[in-house]
Amino acid sequence: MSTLESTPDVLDVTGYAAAVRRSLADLGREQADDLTDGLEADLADALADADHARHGGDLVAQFGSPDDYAAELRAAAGLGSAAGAHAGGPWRRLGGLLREQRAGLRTQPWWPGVARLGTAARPLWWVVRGWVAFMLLDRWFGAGGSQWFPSGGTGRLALVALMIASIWLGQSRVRRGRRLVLALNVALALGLLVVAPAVSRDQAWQADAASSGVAAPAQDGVVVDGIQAGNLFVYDAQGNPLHDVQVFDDRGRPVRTSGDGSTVDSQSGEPWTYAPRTAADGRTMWNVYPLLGAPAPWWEYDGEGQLSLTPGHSLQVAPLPFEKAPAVAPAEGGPAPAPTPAPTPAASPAPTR
Amino acid sequence: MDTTQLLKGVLDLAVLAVVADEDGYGYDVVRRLRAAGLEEVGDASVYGTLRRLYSSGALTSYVVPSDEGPHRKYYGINAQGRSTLEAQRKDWHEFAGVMSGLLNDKAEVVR
Repeated sequence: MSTLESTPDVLDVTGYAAAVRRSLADLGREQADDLTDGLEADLADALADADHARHGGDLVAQFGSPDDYAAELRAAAGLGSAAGAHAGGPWRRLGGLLREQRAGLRTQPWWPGVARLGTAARPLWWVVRGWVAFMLLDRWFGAGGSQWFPSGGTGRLALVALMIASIWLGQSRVRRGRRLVLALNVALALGLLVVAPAVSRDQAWQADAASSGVAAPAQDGVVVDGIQAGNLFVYDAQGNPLHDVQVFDDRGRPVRTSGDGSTVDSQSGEPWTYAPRTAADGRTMWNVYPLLGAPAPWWEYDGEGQLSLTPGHSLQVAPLPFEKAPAVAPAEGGPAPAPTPAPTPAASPAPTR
Repeated sequence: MDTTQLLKGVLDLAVLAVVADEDGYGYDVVRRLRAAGLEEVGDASVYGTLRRLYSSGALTSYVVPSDEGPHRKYYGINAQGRSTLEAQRKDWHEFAGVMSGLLNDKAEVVR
């Protein structure tokens, strides 16, 4: 039965026999000794037998693990399994249970094929577990771990180093610390179940963010034919341009364009920077159209990082798209003035707030 | 058919037959069973079986010290073991005869 004590080197006959005895410890010293009396001689003879030379003298390769050997010995002697009535910790019981399951599987007709496939796929697992170890470390130390493969040179180097270490550990024939490796394998297999979905989720999130583009956060602005408007020009029913018109939407929110605070290409083809207006109560107003501004070169950053006009220049009305818009025909059956064909429908008197 | 399953039921009989032939220690018995054709037999299964037959009183046991290595535990058959062997041998022949007849009949039907 499995024990949690440190595994001794079981490469030699004495060590193997001792491990078998330890596995039978729950039977009591006397019975265990009785059952394994002469075991060293039997093992040595079996090893010396020409028939077994193909195993290269490796006891574990020839006889299986000492625990399995002890279980077979115990079963054949009719002494029952330690996982049953005999006292033992939960780990022993689990070990016994797993061994019984495995023995059951081995009698299945499909077992040899599956076992061969599993053996052939071991190198794949070595690579995968190296990757899992890297991802866990990467996440643990907060460096990232949200991509399938690291983009940085150091990360890639660490990943390759861990994979090589994992492969080396996998193909190593050293039996010492086998239980530690087993525990590591279980931990990394569980880690794979955690890491893979997490990375997958992060990737999906990133792809989502990328596809929605820079427009992800909601922005103010007026869009016409898919292009953001920098300024709005308002004309009355006769088609004459209006100035200082406040524009609100149907919810009473001030309508702002992309021209607020930034430099946009105006109608004239020259980059313009616009300035806000100030309400009677001192608030900044960006919804008074047309926005006033000046060509970009006229602006300078002052000592406090604020944009201000260079001396000798002043704000002016941006160049109109046209001097006069078409006049509006009176609406049928209604006194309300109809919207103009100008870029915004806001020719009506603005509410005062 | 998995012969290891068949072997489980007749390992006692096989071990008794081998030891009745000549006294033997653990691995010696394994070797003789394999030489007889039971190649799938497991070392530990044979040792456990020897130990159980000894406990049930069918075998005797004695230790032979070795000059160059660990001692060997030899097993020999006793009177009780011989009568057990005879009874089981008879059972086996009857059983094998029934199975052979059954399988041959079936073979005729299939043909």
